Amino acid sequence: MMEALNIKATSDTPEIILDAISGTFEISQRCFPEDAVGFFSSSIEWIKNYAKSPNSSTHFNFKLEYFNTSSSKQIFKILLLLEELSKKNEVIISWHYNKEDSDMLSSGERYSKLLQFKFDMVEI
Amino acid sequence: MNPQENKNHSFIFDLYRQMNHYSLSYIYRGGFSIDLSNKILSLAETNMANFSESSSTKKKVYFIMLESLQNITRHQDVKTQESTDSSSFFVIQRLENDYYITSGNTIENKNIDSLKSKLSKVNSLDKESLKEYYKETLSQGELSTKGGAGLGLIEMARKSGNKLSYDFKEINNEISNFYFQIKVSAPDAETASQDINTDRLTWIEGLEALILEKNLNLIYQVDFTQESLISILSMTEGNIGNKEDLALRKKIFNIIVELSQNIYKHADEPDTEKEGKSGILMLGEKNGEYTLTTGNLILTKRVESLSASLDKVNKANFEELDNLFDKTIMEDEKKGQKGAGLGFIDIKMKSKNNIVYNFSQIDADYSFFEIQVKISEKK
Repeated sequence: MMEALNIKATSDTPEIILDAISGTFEISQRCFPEDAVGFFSSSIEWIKNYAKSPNSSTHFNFKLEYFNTSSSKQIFKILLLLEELSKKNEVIISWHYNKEDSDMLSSGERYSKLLQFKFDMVEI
Repeated sequence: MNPQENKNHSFIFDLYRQMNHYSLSYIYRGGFSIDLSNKILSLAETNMANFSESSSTKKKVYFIMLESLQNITRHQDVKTQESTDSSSFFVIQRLENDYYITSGNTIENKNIDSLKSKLSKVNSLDKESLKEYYKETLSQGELSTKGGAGLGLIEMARKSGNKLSYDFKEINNEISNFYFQIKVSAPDAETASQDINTDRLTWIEGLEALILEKNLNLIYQVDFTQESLISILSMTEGNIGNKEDLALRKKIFNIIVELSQNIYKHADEPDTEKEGKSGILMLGEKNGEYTLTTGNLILTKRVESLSASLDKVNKANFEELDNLFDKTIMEDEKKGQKGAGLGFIDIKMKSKNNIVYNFSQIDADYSFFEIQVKISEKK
């Protein structure tokens, strides 16, 4: 089993938990790092490795409050990897959004449409 | 672009030029809560840490800010708040290694004389006599109902070592604006200024009039970095935008992020020693419509391509914009690309408005680039 990746949140970067043993895959809080490519590289690397021997089912939770446009591209990369994984194993993507935050809802719908992959949209 | 907009733009550029020699200007006008005061203090702390100020400067500035902000929150009473053009304001500026801290609030005309006499008394005393006067006042314990006995003024004067600058401007026969400025000199300053120089105070009074006319709440002029962005967000969050309208507050937050990151990622800064990029950010509100404006320098040779990208976004309808966003997000990053190329598209989609922009050429090399975004509360 792979070692879990656990990144603590800061005022401009999210908390990321990628843990195959407990089956927790989650990214939460705010995300507007100065260097989005650098910030997400470890997570993207982790998911690439995980996809080589994944759990039978992967439930990924996106619980973001805000993200900037440079992060949106990196989030798309993560979603692409998950979509790829879904071709051989079960993948559930839950996209959480505040019911008043129509921009966060639209972002989830946009990704879902782009990937032609149905998300579980969770209103909070 | 209509003439009104042109007029606005030159005003931003003018302001930038007037403030450019300061390494920091933070100007806020509006209602003051304890929470906001604390955020302003922590913003100043962050900035002072960035400038690596001595602990003596940090302590003095902090103390004087705290006193000034307390004066504002204490004295913004109901009576004066009723007048729409009389909310309080606070300014901190850094010029070379000195700090200027200015506050403005309304006071009742009947209280002016006693305040004036306290101020001129403090200004008339030298260092030793101030110390004596402090002890004297302390032992008298003559506290007003608002909790001030002039001790704050004496302490501020003692800590700064400089004279107090002040002014009163009558609003009507009941209330006046009270302007108050203290300079904290750099530790290596040879002598404290014993003369009362009111030039900077006069400039700030003029600035306040402009802020009122343009419905601005906040002007922040600083070297933009990720740290300065984080501190500006902590200040605007919870203080700007209708509390009931979460979507609006998130939009404002997002657009501040995109505009500020645009500055420090893409501005062209002539001073390569600087960590950040010099720029200005303004926030204003009128009848539920919020205006966000930023300005920064770019190389004149980039004006054409930047205009073209903005025009492309402005000309697109929302469906075309959606497609443009999708196309851009799927593209691979080009080598050395600093952003996702999605900023302007995102700003227009979130604000539901075109991005107003303007360039003012400064010289052959550099131009001043302004962006203005309007966002409205949901109806």
